[in-house]
Amino acid sequence: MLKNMRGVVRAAAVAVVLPLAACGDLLQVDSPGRIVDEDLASKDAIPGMIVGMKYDLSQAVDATQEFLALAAVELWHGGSYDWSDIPRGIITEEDIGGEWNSPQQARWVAETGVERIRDFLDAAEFGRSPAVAQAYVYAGYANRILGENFCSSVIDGGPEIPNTEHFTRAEGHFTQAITIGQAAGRADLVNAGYAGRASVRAYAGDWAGAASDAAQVPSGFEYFAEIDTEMRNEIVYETHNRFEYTVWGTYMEAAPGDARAPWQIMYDDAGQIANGANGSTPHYQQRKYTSNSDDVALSKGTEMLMIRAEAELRINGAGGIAAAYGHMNAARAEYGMAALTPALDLPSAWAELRFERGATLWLEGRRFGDLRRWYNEGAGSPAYDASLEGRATCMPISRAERLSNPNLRG
Amino acid sequence: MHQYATVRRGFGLACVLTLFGVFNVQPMAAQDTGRITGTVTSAQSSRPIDGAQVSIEGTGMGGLANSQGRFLLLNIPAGTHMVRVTMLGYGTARQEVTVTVGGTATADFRLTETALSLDEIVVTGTAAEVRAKEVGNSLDAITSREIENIPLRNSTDILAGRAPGVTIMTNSGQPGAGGSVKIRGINSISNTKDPLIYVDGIRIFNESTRSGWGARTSTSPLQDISADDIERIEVIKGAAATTLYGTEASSGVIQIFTKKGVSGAPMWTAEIASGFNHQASFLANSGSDPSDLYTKCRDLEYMYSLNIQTSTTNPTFGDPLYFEDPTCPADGTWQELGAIQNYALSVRGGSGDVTYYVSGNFNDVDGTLPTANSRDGGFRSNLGFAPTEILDVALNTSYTRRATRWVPDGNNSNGFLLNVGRGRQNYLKGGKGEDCIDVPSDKTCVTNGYLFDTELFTHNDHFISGLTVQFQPTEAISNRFSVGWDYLNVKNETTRPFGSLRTPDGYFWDEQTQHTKLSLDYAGSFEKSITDRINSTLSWGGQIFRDKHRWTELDVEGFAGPGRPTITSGAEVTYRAEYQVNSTSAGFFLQELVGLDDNLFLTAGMRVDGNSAFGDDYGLQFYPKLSLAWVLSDYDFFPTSTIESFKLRGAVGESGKAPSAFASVRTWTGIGIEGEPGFTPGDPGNSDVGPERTREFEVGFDASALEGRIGAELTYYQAQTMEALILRDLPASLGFLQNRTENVGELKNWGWETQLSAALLRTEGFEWRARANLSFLRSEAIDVDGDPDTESCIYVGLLSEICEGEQVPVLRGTRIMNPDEFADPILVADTTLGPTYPNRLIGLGTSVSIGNNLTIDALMEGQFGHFLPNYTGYQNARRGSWHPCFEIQGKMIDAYRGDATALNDVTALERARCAISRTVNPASEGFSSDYWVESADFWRLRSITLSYNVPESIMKWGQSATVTLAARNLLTITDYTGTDPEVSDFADQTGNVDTGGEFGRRDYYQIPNPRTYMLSVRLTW
Repeated sequence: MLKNMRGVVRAAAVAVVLPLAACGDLLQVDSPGRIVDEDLASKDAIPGMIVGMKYDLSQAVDATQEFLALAAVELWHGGSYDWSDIPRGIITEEDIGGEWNSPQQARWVAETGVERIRDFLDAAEFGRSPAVAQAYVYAGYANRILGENFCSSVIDGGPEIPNTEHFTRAEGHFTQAITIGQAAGRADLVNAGYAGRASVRAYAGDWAGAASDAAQVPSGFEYFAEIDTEMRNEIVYETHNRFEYTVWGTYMEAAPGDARAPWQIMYDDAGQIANGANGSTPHYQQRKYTSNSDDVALSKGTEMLMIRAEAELRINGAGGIAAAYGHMNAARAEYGMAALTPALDLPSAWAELRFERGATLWLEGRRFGDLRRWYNEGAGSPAYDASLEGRATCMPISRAERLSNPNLRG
Repeated sequence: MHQYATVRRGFGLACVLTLFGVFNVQPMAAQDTGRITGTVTSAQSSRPIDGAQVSIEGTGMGGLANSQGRFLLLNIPAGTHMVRVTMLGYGTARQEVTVTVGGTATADFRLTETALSLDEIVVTGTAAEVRAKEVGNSLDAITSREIENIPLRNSTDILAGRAPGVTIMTNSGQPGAGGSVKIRGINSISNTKDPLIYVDGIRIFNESTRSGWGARTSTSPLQDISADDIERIEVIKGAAATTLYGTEASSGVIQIFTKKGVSGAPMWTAEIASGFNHQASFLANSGSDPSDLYTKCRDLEYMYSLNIQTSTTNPTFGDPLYFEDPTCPADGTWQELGAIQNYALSVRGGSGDVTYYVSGNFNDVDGTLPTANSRDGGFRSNLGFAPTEILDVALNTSYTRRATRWVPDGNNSNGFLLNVGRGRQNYLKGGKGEDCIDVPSDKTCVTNGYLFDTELFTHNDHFISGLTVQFQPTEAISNRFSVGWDYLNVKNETTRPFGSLRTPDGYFWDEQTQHTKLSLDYAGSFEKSITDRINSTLSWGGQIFRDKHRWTELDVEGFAGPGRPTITSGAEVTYRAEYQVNSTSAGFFLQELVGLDDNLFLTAGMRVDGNSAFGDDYGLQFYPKLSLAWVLSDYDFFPTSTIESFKLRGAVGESGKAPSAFASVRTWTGIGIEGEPGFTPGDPGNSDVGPERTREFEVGFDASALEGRIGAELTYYQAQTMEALILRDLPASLGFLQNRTENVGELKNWGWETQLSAALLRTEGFEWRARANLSFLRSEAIDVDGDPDTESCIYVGLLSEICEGEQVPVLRGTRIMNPDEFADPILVADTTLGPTYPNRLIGLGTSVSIGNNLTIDALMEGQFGHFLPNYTGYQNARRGSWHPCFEIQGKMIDAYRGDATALNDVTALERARCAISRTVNPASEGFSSDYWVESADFWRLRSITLSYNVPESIMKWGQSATVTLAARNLLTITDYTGTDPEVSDFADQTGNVDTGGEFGRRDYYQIPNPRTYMLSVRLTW
């Protein structure tokens, strides 16, 4: 009996194990369309890596712009989503998800991508590669989003760092982009480098450097985060397809007809003002973006003019008012708007500059950072803006990052 | 649709003609033969036993008894034969019969009913065919006899209320929607909770597939097995029973056996059924709908009173909101009677070595709203071939095609209940052309009729084929080898044609999901008597499963003009996605069963598995099992005069669940932007990941008493899921945003299941039987993050979380502590509101037989202990369009305008639910769906059936005929105030089978289950 049983067991084991052994890759999992990590270590992978960086940066812009518009009260909440507290200035770490994740992914992909490329390009080729310059531009902008808007930050799962660290990193990346872009003969990347660097130098308080960089950029220059219909411009979707966010109750409600910040009141068939998706908030629809594929500006020549105007007021005080208005009016001219009459005093000039900058960069994800830096100047500064008084001045690190990053669980 | 209908009906006719052509051939009468005829009746009730299998031992010849219990065996060689009659639920009977040349021998059989048949052969969870007495775990079997007269469509319907520990939820009242099945609750966090499904020994794809965003529901592969074809369903429930199925089996196994051919003349069965669906109410516990908008849309005076302006910022605050709907149907109601037609034809028979069962069916079901329809049809061919006494070959093949047109439903801005229920605050306004010219200018013109312009289709094609060879070279050795192929294609389409009200340029969405499963399965066994008292059965086997899954999705917008949109005729592709994965699992098992004196059985076994989803560092997995079955009623001391059968059983075993296919590998995903291709981080990968492992212990007994009048089964189980797979966040600063799968969780499930059956009254010509299933299902999350020092929760969707120390999962949110006080609500945030899934199940069935011909069956099911977020009430109330809130909101408006006493008789719960805005009721923190999380306890009369067997004396043709009048969902008893306590908004985000989908539940304007009335005629000849 036992002999028979042993024979049967052996036969069974051979019958089952032999096919497994014979087909070494039987248990392999495969999926067309996916790339394993090691496959990126090749020159052939560079174009795909660069497009990936662009995609991730665009995702970062798209994922943050509606939240930042609410936080800066460029839009008011009139829908059924959970963010009704955001325009009221209440931001908790539970509110932060994709707004943290996407810029961090864009930063990581671009920064590690540059290092991957460095591994298989020689130094000379690396130093004149348009792809490398492009990667540095993307890395710079990703850092700028994090620096402008987050209270503090983290690099690659490390410990908590001040948000200003991102300005330092961004400045370095933009500088590399300028250098390599010039070597590659790519004026667009050089301009993007100067424009990006001007903006981060301004946030970092280097106004002379910022103005100098800004002066390198033509007034008609524009550099966009590209949004296509598949990615979908979220502000368009939430204000046109769904009536979630409204211009009603925001500072631009008081400035109808501004070419830089177009909006309109929506009416229902009975001629009453239409309500938002919450059924109760009047829906004033933004019209800056009207198509799901509308791109979002990362840098513009008109922003450079605003930086130069602000630098004039900061460096020269009342003595810079005329020059500042010269820059502001140059920017207005780009939109076909009439020139402003220069203010007679510095506080008025600052108030007008803050509005002009807000209108110029409306719904581009920049207002919240601007309000933050102006608020942080303190009440004694002519630049001071009290809009964030009693409100959140920045976005916290996401709760998910705090829970998952051992360096933050102290 | 019309074109499709023509094709389908043509197909149905072809099926019928083919069946006639192939099988309407009578065997030639042989010389030297005779016939055997007789009846098969119940020894206790004397009622005929329909479907009893009559066979002549040692010949392969036989047939089936008809509904009158009568059988006829032709061409039986002259001589003396042993005739055997078997039927599930009855003891076997034998009788020696002598056949003379040209003569007709008569043999009548009276089978003894048994509540517990220990000699019944079962196969699910066992290595080979064994008798029920040898099995150490609980096993539920539902036979065709129990369901043949019930108006059931598929195996999900069959299981509802009939198997203890099995939770069936219908999810949607739309025709074509599939329900969800959970066995012994939820024992996994990140993986699918669906049981494995086998059909005639072949494993098939077992997960629900979404029906597309617009319908917000899903279809289930269990829908694809026609109830007419089902002979028996076996259910085994936990790891102790499913060990031999290894990785993937810890949520239980459902095995469906379809009808087989039997030797004898062809027996044809045709069934025609007709009926209708009727939506009695759009509210679960009310005779009317939430606002009467569904049924009174031409009653203008009434319509004018339906909405209140609750926006304090609007100049008309507090006033009614006037609107009219010129697209409302002329009879003033959106509701329709949904016509139902079912046709089924089958033939079974065989001669010599070959047996066959072939069937075809076609079903056409309309819903209770315009355009809602589901048509399905298919065929089954089960062929058996036994060329020698030691070889049996079975080839079972089925194909089902279903075309469903859905009504836009659920959380969908084009949804029917959402738009109609919200009155003036809907999404469709203004109409086209002259729609609104008769609507007064001070009224808003809403045009919900254009909701039906949206065309939502799901086409399911399901092909299952399996070849099974059984080879038994000696009495002691048996071998079974199966090759199976399962192919499921689900195609979803959403079309908003050019000229649509909300999408004037048109929109087209196409999604296809294909699952293919190839399986190879071998099992062998060797029986040996070691001594006079000890028997041994050694079993071994192995399986390989190769799965291919492909999912594609494409959105196209902007069409140039009218006409049917296609992927290429749109101006732009607005979304595209593809997911493909091919994976393999393989394993083998070894099991030894030792029997002592044929009443004590000890089984020990081991399963070894490999899986492509395991990490490189993980290797093979071992799952052990041990079980004991002890038939105490075989001993002399046992009081068999009262309790004729009694078996104690106990089992302990393990099984598992594999991680998702890419859990172990770091990958990048292809993307495109502005036409350029690139890649972005995908799965972060974890080379240490392995399966989660569930260890279960169960004990219980099966008993039959008082000559089969009473049957009882009781089981206690306790399961622990260790190394549970948890999708953990990685720091986003490390670049990968997808979760990493880690084996860090722990869950516990335990509970009781009992099934009682009784013949309450049994006299000549009258029998009243009753059956009760009771299940108590408990669970607790022990650890959800691998950190014993924290009490953590994991969000699993739709307000549900899995929290340490709580049932799995629970609804979490803000609780009103003083719901019945006349005061502002006292709120406690972040608290548990209640379990998401029922923890008590009750199924009550009864059957009354009067005379030989009339039977009344009823099945009532209750599900208790769970809660459901009523988003229908929440979203309507905040918009001032929920009737139960109108009076309260009027008082809140008075309070806002300064009446300090207006809210004196308004409770805290009413103030919270019927709040009109944050400014009016700041204490409530404004609107919150948390206040609408309600108990979803319910009783539902699943079915009630009156069936009448036409007496032979008045039959003009054929062997038997049965006329059945049936109703489903005739009565629902619940305090739940939403649309239906059984519905849920489908929440799988990707259609990706690896995610397992979200398993939170909520009612978000889902169309409730209708009442169904059916009249059917079944004819056998």
